[in-house]
Order: sequence, then C-alpha cells, then structure tokens
Amino acid sequence: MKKTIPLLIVILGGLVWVAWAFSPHYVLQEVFYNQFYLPWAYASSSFGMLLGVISLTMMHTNKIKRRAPKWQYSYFFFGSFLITCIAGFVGGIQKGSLFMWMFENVQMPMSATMFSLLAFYMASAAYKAFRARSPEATVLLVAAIVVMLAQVPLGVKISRHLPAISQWILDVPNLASKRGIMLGVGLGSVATSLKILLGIERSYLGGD
Amino acid sequence: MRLDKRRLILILLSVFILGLTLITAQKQENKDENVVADFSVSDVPADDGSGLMLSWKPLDRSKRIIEYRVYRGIKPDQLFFLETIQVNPKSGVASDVMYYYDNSASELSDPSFPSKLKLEKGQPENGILYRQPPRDLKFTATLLEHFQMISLSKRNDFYRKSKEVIEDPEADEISSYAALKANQQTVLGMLKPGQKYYYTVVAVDERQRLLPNSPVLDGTPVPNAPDESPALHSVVMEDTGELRFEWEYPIYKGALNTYRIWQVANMTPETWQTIKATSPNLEGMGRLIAQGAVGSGSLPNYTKVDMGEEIASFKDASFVMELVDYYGASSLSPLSQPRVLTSSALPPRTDFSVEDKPNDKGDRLTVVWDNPIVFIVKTTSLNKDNTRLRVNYQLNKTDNQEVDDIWFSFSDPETGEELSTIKEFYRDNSIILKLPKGYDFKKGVKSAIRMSGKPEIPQDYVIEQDLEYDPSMMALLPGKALYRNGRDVSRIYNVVYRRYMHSPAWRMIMRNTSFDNSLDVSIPYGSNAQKLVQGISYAEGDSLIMHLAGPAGVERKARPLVSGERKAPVTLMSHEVDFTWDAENEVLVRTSLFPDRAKEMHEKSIADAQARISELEAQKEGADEATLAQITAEITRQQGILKVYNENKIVQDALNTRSNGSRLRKVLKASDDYMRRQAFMVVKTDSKGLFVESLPQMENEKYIYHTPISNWFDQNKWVTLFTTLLFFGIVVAFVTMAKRGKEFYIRPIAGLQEIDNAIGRATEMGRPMLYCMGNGSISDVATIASMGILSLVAKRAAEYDTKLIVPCYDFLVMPIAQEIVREAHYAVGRPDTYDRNNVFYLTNVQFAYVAGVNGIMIRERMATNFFMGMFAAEALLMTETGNAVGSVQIAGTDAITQIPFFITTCDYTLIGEELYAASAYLNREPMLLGTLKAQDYFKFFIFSIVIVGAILSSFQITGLTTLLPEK
Repeated sequence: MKKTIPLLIVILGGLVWVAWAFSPHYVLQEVFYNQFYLPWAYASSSFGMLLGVISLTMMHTNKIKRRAPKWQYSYFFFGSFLITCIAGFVGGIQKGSLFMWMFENVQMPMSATMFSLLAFYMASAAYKAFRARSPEATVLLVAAIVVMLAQVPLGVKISRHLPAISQWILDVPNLASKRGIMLGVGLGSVATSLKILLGIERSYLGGD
Repeated sequence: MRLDKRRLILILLSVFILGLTLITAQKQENKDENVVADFSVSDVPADDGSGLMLSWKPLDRSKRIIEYRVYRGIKPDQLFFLETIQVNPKSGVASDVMYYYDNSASELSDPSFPSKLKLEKGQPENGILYRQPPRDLKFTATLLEHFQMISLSKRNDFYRKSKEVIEDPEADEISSYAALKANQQTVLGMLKPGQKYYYTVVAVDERQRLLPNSPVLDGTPVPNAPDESPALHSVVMEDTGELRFEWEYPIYKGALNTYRIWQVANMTPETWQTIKATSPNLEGMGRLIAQGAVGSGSLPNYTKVDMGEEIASFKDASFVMELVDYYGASSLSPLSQPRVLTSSALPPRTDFSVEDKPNDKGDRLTVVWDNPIVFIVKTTSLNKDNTRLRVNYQLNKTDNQEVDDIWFSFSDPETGEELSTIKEFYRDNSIILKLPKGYDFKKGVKSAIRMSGKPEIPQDYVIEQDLEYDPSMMALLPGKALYRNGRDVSRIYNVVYRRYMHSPAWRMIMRNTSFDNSLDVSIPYGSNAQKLVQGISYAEGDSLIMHLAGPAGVERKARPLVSGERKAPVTLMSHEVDFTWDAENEVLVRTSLFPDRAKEMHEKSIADAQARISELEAQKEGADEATLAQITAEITRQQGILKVYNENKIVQDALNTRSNGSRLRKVLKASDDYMRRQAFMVVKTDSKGLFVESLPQMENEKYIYHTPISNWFDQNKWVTLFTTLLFFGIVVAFVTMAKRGKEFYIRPIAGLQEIDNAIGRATEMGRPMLYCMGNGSISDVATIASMGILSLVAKRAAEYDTKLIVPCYDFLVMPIAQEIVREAHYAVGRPDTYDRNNVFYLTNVQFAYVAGVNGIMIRERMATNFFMGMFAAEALLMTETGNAVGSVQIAGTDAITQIPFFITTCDYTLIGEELYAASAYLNREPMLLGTLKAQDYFKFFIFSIVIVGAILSSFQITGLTTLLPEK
C-alpha cells in the first residue's frame, strides 16, 4: 500500500500529461494547466523549499555538534542564512533593497568568479584531449585546430577555405554524431517514461 | 615665524574649513547636476482631456543613469510612484528631451502594492515621494474625485466573490452594487478633465540611488479639438453615379465620434488652408454630402453616396471632411478634389471564407481571401559571374491550405526567353537559380510562380515579380510590384472587419497587404471582468460610509451598518451583467449577479415592455401612415422582448435554477456563447476611394456567425502517437519475452562494469564516495535514470560500509535520494550505518553548488566520484577538481554539450542513452532488459525510416518527409 498508492498517482498523473501533450483542448491547456497545475506547482514548490532548509540546518547543526572537520564554517551558513532571510522579510526583495544588494554584490560576483574559472579548466581539459596519443586523438586535434583557427581573423589569412572547412566539420560530422546521441537520448527518455507509466521503473519511489 | 602648536592648529583648522567648504560646494554643484532640467507638464493636444504630457532634459551620460521614475499625486506634498522609464547607462539618452505621456489607465490599487503609506527609499520623514499608493480602498476613495476608476478582476472572482452592498436598505426601490475587496482586484485610474495633478521626475543611478527630484509641477488635462484627418480621398464614378469617399484618421482617434463630408466651393488647396485657419462654419458655406459614426476610429473609414444623374456636376467639386469628437469639437481635413473614374477601375470583389484554426484550444479563426501566395524576398549571388543565385522566397498560406509543389519560372525581361524553371518539391524557402553563362544579370530577371495543392489551386493562378538590379546592394531584388494573374496588387489592401451578434456595427480588425492571403483572428475566452467603479464603501464605527461618483462629483453618504454586512473597504460596481443574445428577436438579455436583483430585473423588463406596448397602442389612434408604421415596428420589438423574457429557454432555465452558483455558471456560458460569435467582411481597397465590400455571408437572410472550436486532438501528432504506440507495443512484447525467460544480449558498457571496482577502491582506501545527481529536477528523465544507479551504488556502499555523500541540487530530489539510500541500507541489512545527513540539500544556485561540491571533495578527499544526471557549465569545474584530488570518476549525462568535458576529465563516461540503460544493465531485471532491447529495435526502425526517407527525397518523392512532424 505504501508504494501502490504513490504508483497509482504517478501513473494517473502521467496519463494526464500524455493527454496534455497530444490535445490542444481548452480543458487541458487552460483549465488543467494554466488554472490548476501552474498555481498548484508554484504553491507546493515553496513547501518543498522548506525540506531543503530543514536538511541544510540538520546537516550543519550535526557538523557543529560533532566538531566535524572545518565545523566553524557551519556558523557562516547560519549567519548568512539569517541575514539573507531577515533582509528579505524586512526590506523586501525589490530593486534597491538590502536583499537585492547582497544578491548583486555578493552572490553574483562570486558566481561570476566560479564561472570565470571555467576558462582555465577548459584550457586544461583541451590540453588533455588534444594530446595526439592515438589516431582518433590526432583526428580530434586536427579538427579542433581547424575549427578554432576559423573563428579568428588569422584563419582566413592562412587560407580562405578554412571557414568553409570549419563549417563543414560543424555541420556534417559534428552534427551527425550529435543527432545520433540526441536520437538515443530521445528514445531513452520515451522508454524511461513508458517504464514509469507501466510501473516497471520505481526508483523514484525510493529504492526498487 | 615659528610654527608653534597654536599656529599649526589654526592652519589645520583653516585648511579643514576650506576643504569642507569646497567639498560642500562640490556636493551642492553635484546635487544641482543630478536634478533633471527643463521639467514641464502640459496638456496632451488633440485628446479627450484624459492626458498630460511630461517632458524633461535627461541627465548627462556620465551620471550612469539606469532609469527615470515618474511620481504623481493630487497634492504637491504626496507623490506616488507611477512609472519607470529604463535607459541604458552606457549609452545614455540620445535625445535632448524625454517625454512621458500619462494618458492611459494606471494602477491605483493592486494586491502587490504596500498595505499602507510607504515612503520611497532614502526619503526623510517629511519626504514627498512615496512608493505605490497603498492597497487601502479607504485611501483610494480620496482619489475618486480625481480619477475615472475601473476595476479589473478575474471574471470568476467577479461573478463568484462579489458581495452585494445596498445603498439604502429602507428605500422603496433598492439600489445595489457588486462589491469586491482590495485583494480581489486591480483598480485602474484615468485622469479626469479639469482636475489638477502634480508630478515630479527622479533619476536613479547605477548604484540604485534615487537622485534628487525635479521641482514638483502641476498640470490639468483639458479636452481639445481633434486633429484633422490627414487625407480625404474622393472619387466620382461616372457610370454608376456614385460619389465615393475614403479617409485616414489622425494618430489620436480615441475621442472621435462622427464624420461629416461637405461639398465646398471650388478653390485651390492653398485658399482652403487660409479659410480653414479661420475656423469657418460649414453650415453656411458648404453642402452636407454624407455623415456617419466613427466609433473612435474603429468603424469603416469609407462611404459612398448615390448621386444618380447629378453625378456629372461633381466632377470639378471640392470636398472636405469634418471630424467631430464626443465633446462636439471638430477639425477639418485638407481639400479633396475627386478622381473621375468608372467602375472598371474598382478592384475585384473578394470572395472570402472563414476557417477554424486547427489544433488550437478554440480561440482563433482564419479569414481567407486568396489562394496561397508565394513571393520572392531577396536573392544572393553565389559566384563571381553572378550566374548562380540563391533565391529566398516566402510562402503565405493558412493551416488548412496545402501546397505540394511550386514552380518558379525565370525569363529574360527584354526578350521574354525562358532562362530556367525550378520545381520546388521540398519547401525550405530557398532555391538555387542558375542563369545561362554570359547572361547580364544587371538587366534583371522576370519571375513567374505557379503552384499546386489542396484545396485545388487554379492552373491559371500565377504570381509575377520583376527582379531588378539594385546598385547599392549589388544584387537582384524584387521590385515593388506584385502581379496576381497579370494585375498589380501591391497597392491593394484587404481590410478585415467583424461584427458581434449584439451590435450592428462593423469594426475594423486589420488592414492587410496583398502579400497576405489570410488573417488569424483571435477570439479569446473571457477571463477578466472590467467594470466601472461607481463608488467605494467602508465601515466606520456603526456606520457604512459610501463615496459615490456621479455626474456632479463624488457624494459622501453614511447609513447605519446592517448586521452581517461586509465591513471591509470595497469598490462598488454595477451588479448587472450581459446574459444572452436572442438571435430570433434580436434582444440582448441582461441579468444580475444576485438572485433577488435578477428576479427584479426580469420582472421589471416584462413590466416595462407591457407598459410600453399599452402606451404605443394608445398612440395608434389618429396617427398618420408613416407614424403608424413606426409604432407598429416598435410594438413588434417590444413584443419580441416580452417573448424573450417569457419563453427563451436559456433565460427560463437560469431563472428557475435555485443555486446561485449554478445560475451564474449558466450565465457565463450563455454570455460566452454569443460574445464569441462573430461575422466577417473583407473590403478590398486602394485606400484612395476605390473600395469593394465582400458579399456578406448569409443564411436565411441572417448573418452567419462563426465560433472557433476547441480541438481535442492535435492533427499534427498522429505520426507521433502512432510511433509512440508502436514503441509501446515493442516494449510490451520484449518485456513479455523477458518474463518468459528469454535471455537478451546487451553489449558491455565499460562505465557500468567499472562501478564495482570504483566502490571497491574507495573501500580499500577507507575514503568516502560522492554521488552527484546534477542540476536536473525531479521532472528530468536523466535525474530519474540517475536514481536507479544511485540505488545500486548505495547498496554496494552499504554492503562494504563505505561512506556515500549525496549533495542534492533540487530540494524535491533530496527526500527521494534520502529514501533510496535508506532503502539500500535496509536491503543489505545495515540500517545502522545509514546517516541521513550524508544525503542533503546543498543549493540550487549553479555555481554555489559547484563551490559546495568542490569543497566537499577536497575536504573529504573523495576516493570515487559519480556524476550521473543532467549537467551544465558546472560539470567541468567539478570533474577537474575531482581529477586534481585523484578520485576515480564515472560520469553519465544526456547533456550533449557536457559529454566532451566528461570524456576528457573522467575515467569512464556513459554517453547519452547509456545513462538510461544503466539501471537495466546493473539490475539485470528481465522487465528492464526488455525495454532496453525494445529501444534498440526501435532505433533500427528509425534508422530504416531515415534511409528510406533520404532515398525517396532524392527522387523528389516527399510523402514520407512531409508525413513526419518537423518539431
């Protein structure tokens, strides 16, 4: 019973969504989706967020209690969490508020810093990928050099055919392999969805 | 002179005071610079007195202004935020002056507004700038005198949540209102003529600082005379004896009520301009030829007058048009001297049809007046000799029209010699034209386009265009003319009009060029209720206070509060709503939201009609023939009303419904039924007086009204449904075979085979493992696939007593992951080792998640990392860190962009579908293996279709290609 009822809910819900995908009718697109589902999803997701907050609080409390490695940082979590909450609840989250100031001047620069690290990691990954250790890696290296050169003015200086070759690499072998993967992914998605609808796949219920 | 201590102090003090003065002066200067200059408030010209125009000089670009905020109030010391005008801080404002027009409805109360008066950020206690007006209808009542208020609410809320407020319960004739609370509606306000409003403008810089506001100025909107019509076109039709007029409206046409066309004495346009400046009275100097309603510019902008034999005298006549607004003010158009033509110059009458838009939710119709239209948009030369051109074309057709093939013929414009004919069997909006070698493409090319399709396209239907050489573009470009069956239609417009069942007027929807063959008309479902606010009421002690807006201004009334009456402040609106249209008797029935009032209205309508009939019967005696006919017609109309109220089934059904909720549902349905029915007309015109109306679509002498249909099935998805069912069938077949014991071969997947080794390594090293499910939500298939793998990894980890850390990105995924890991521990008999805190929510901010996961990896010195699920830019950041820590890494994702990064930085990678197959592969469950095998066979089926489709397309057989959906 513990799993049968959730399974039934999932199967019924899944069937409704199948109908939604195939039917443009007012009842499904407007009444069900816009008037029922969207407000319900917005409302319930806030409660879901509460689960996350509880989980984080429990984990950090536990860390402090057990004096786990670097447990001092957990105080930063509680401090930041409280400041952000108070700023949001008291001053609001509109433009110009403390909350938004913190978002724009603390979180955004930190995210941008993390993102900018990606450039170095990419260079490192490219170095690993382009080492011509096998014939396949050599092909990869040559293709990469052609595509990269074609992106800069120097490429056209070297050969005026370089942009066309680069475009061909992107449009034909690259696109063909991408579409091959996408086809597999699409079929896999449908198969997984069918498995869920048929009740074969139950991992989302917590275990087999 | 010795610099002793006292002197030093004196010097320092002097320097300090000087510095302070300079800084203050600088600040003062800055303060002045930060205020917008030349701020002014003036009346909007040529409007109905509901608009004011604000103008100011924007601040210098160096101030890095991001927006200008406009504040408005009815007192100079209390101004509320009205609107923001965004500007680019980098480029600034190019123009010297900025304008803001306060001439449309603005929000006076909204559920999102602050509940009480709230000063704007940075304002002192005695500041004058406030955020939006408070969401307090008591406060809104103070604005009632100054604004024409409209309540905007959800229609269901208005019908079901409105409560009745009675003006005076003891009066003989009850006057009641529908009332809504502040949080159930948005109250919009329009400026009223003659009222005074105060404004200021504030610049906001990049640091979100509100700079000092401009001086507060006031303005008063006043009704003005309308702008003149830009042009009046007149035509004398010699053979039919008709005078035809067509005109253009000025930009601001909202207050226009009627037009009058006058014949004036012959004169030159210059003379007329001089006379016009003196505001002449046309009654004395001209002859009224035609007049009619304008309906704020939505009604037809043309008319014709039958002059019979007299027509010849108008050949040299001069005409002007007078536009009159709702306040009686008028303007005169420039002088028009007619073109003398015959009816052969008229464009052909449009034969149009109305189609329901297929595959929609029932809110669109298509008005079609022509076959599909194809025209060339541009050409691009593909070689040096300009003999190979890419020709881009556009096909305009409706969803119900099918075009199979298009033939493009190109010929030499001088000799007429055919240069090339191309059959376009696959429509990709582009063809390649090969011109003969040595052809001078600068002399241009003539193109003729024919097509075949369903519904059948006439064989003689041809569209022609001249491709001319454009020296500036150095390319062949289509000329302005578009020939349809030999006639240039580029200057002919198809104007679509509609009429509702309950209104006799045709209203313009859109003016279309002849490059279009149809128009999609949107007929939305009613979702909002818009009602005029007639007053605001609220309880004060034991009294109910009412502010009622009337023609003489706002009247404040008070009466004792009745027990059970709503005390909260509410807006008061008419409780009457449209109910149904009786097509047979042409009567619009209205009803009330409240059952008692509805019955009263019903009885009153019957009593009024009966009284009117008796009155008319009495007038019959002694009336002349013409009056008698009028009386009889009116009696018939009144009898119709009686019949509707007594016999109409819908009206009777609603009247006899006991529950008010059910009654209102019926009212809503009935009003939707007739409001969504529309009749159409297409007028073909050259916009200069040569117009031809289409014949009305009629049946039994009544207009045919069309309603869009809500479709249950999307016809474009038949193939998708078929293939899904086929796949379903294959899955069921293979699952059945697997259940019966048939063994399936599945190719080895290295990444999955290595999972056990990776877990073993972590166990041997005594270090934990990390399992990352990516940034997908619970609705992502990749996340669900990842859960299957997590289940297996968690079991092995529990078995070997190895710590498994699962940081979650999504708070809804987290409890499921916790449950999976917990179940795994129970399944291997180690519930004691399960620690809930090892599966936790981290954050749903992408790079904060990376920082968190990387920190865990480094602190815990992970032996093994699993990255299974949906990933984006964070993938490489995490795997590179894992690599640096020396972890064994196994990744799997269906995100194509991240697969290369995983392959480069991880030891094993599951590519795309392998992720979905993992669960089946690892568990070796027959049911799951069956689906995997079905997937493989279906892939084979798809590849077969791809190969067959490619072969057929090569032979110009496109049936299979067109059968498959594009998206």
